[in-house]
Amino acid sequence: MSKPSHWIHSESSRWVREQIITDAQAARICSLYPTPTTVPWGLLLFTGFGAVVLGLGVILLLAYNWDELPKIAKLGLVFGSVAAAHGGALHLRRLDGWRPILGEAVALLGTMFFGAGIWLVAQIYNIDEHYPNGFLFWGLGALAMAWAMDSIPQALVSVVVLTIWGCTEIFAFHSAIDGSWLLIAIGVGALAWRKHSSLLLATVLASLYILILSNAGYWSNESGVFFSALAFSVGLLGTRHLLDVPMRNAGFGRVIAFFGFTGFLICAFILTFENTAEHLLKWSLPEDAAAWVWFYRWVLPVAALANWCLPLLRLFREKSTAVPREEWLCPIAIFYSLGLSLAGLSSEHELATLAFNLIVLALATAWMVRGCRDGQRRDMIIGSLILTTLVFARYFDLFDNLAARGAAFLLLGAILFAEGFYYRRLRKPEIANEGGAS
Amino acid sequence: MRTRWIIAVAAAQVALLLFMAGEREWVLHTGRTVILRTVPLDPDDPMRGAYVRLTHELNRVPKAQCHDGLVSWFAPHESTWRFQRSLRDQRVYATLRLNETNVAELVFLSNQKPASGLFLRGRVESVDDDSVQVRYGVEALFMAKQNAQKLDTERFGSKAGVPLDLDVRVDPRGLAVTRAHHWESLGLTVAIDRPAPTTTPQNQLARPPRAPTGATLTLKNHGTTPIAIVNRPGGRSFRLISETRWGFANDLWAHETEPLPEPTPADVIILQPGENQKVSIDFSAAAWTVLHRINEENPVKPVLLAQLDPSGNTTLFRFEYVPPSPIERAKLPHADLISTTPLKSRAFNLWSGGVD
Repeated sequence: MSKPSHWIHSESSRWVREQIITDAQAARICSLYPTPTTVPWGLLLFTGFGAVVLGLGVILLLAYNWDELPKIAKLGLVFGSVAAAHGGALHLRRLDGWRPILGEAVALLGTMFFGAGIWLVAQIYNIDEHYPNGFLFWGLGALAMAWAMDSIPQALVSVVVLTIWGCTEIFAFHSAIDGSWLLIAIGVGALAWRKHSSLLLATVLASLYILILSNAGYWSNESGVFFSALAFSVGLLGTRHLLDVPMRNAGFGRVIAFFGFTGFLICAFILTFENTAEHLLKWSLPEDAAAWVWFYRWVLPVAALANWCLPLLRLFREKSTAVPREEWLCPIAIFYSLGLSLAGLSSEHELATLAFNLIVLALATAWMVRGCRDGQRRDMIIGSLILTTLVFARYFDLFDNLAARGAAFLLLGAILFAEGFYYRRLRKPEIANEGGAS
Repeated sequence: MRTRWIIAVAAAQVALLLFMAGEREWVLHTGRTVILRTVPLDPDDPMRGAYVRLTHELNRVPKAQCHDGLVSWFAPHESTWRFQRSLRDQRVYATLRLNETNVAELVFLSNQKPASGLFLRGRVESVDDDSVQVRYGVEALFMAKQNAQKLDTERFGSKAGVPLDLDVRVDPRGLAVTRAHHWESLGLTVAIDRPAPTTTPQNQLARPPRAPTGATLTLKNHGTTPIAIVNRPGGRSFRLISETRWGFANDLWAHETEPLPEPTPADVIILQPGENQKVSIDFSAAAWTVLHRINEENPVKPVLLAQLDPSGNTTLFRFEYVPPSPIERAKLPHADLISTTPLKSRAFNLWSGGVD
């Protein structure tokens, strides 16, 4: 039950008791605020988490490898637990009330048993093959079940397991499987889109960052990782502007904005340091560069910029200001850093550090101003934190004497004070209307 | 409709597990028996518990035994490191032959699947300038932690120098499944003999390396029944093997290609369970001459093992006990007790002694 309707329902009972209103009036008032049907998140969360932990417990327990347990008993336990869990889940799904939710958790347990079964059969037969394949089959099993059941928990397990698969291929076997992130982007991303699940989308985006950057690092070097991260984050921000307005402002859009801005700000902030800027912008490719090197260096940035074409077209045609002005700095940053890199100007690091200091500063200022003007406290706080971080970073590497450092802190303190007063002045009429202290 | 899909996916999950187990079970019941000689190590796996990692002689395949497409892997490339890395996980096939006791010996390694015969399928682990490291999926034994620890303790204690045999079944596609493991009966250990230490001069912090004068090889019967060995005079029942590493073959045994002397009935020694026979090897004897080079540009020079400078020598040596051939054995007493399988010692170098 949502908080306002819960409040109305409990208060109306008190008003009846105190004879302020009649039962009939209370019923009419309550009917105006119907109780929304909600998912029992508590039950889902705890049973789901319990299923995952239980599955891990079974893996560890059987991993102990009792000699007393005969092979046939171990195999029976493995097959029986998977079949029983899925059978039980199917039965619970057909029942009413909270039981289908429990069925979801039991199905999750079945998928955990399936993963455990892969390792345990390998243990029973002393199979020592390419072990990331175990994660691949487990992840595919979870993904198939996610689509079959239309289940977010199953999809979450598949993302985690497939990410482990991709990472073990790269870090343990030095073998980049570029299809790993494509599989998650298409296989799970589509389900996240269909279900409009912010949680699933957030997990998918986190996984994509890990896998894309790991693959880019395998094929190229730190520079390749940097350009991939920049391109992916800018691409995400562009994608957000392709969504319709309600979705852009809902949880789905906010998740994309979070991952886009976080990635972009980390990239931009790294380039505000001289040594890292010179190192990252150096355009060096292996002599026998594979096709995927070009993908991460060129296709990804071009695709990211393509995402901005439609908003750009709208800007020229409709003079629309749907995209905040400071966000245009993001695609410009790709052009600028790629340009410096290709022109061999990486050693002229001032060109990069100055520009990226200004970009970070511009974003922070814009968010602080908009936060004050529109009463968006979150924007204001984030902008202030970014500005403060930037000033602290420059404290160590830019200003060479205490007087300059002192002045920087004085200026920062003054800006934060001014921001506080500006926010209060603009919000004053609202605060007065709400009956708060003036 | 959704229910049908759920049932299909659940059935597919169970079917995959059944296939994994069923395929292995089929090989265990129908496959050909092969014994792989191994050396155990003792890691731990968070998903599968304690296990013993095994390395066997087929894991490291020298360049000379690489055939077909594998020959080109050792040719110079623009970026050798990148090329070698790209070979990881390539499918390869090890053609085998079995000796009298079913112990597998590598004939050659190829990237072409043999049309028939006994072979193991494996995947490339790594490639360097003179060998290919291959795994065949039978390099682990999963067991309870205390059993894994016991195996490891035995390896350095009561079973020192004894090979651990892996009984595997191999199907016609080259898939190997481990069936059992057991220690062999005969073990071989090496102790390097050095002159007694001299006092260190006061102005010198470290003692100069003491060149080894010889080695004491011990053959011990760890089994429960008597075994006969053949001890040719002068330690000539043993071969000296030098391992080629990092593309530089050095200190090869000068008598590598010569046949060993024919054993006489007086050379046959019966070892009762728990008994051992020590054989002294004199590194200053001509029989233990190696072909030494300072580097690849310098000419090969015959040098006695005793004359090699141990401080600058990184070559890994092994001694191998060579049993008599079937024809030689037939002429000897107690032929039925004579061990038929060659037995290699742990690798050692002249500076530090045992290294693996």
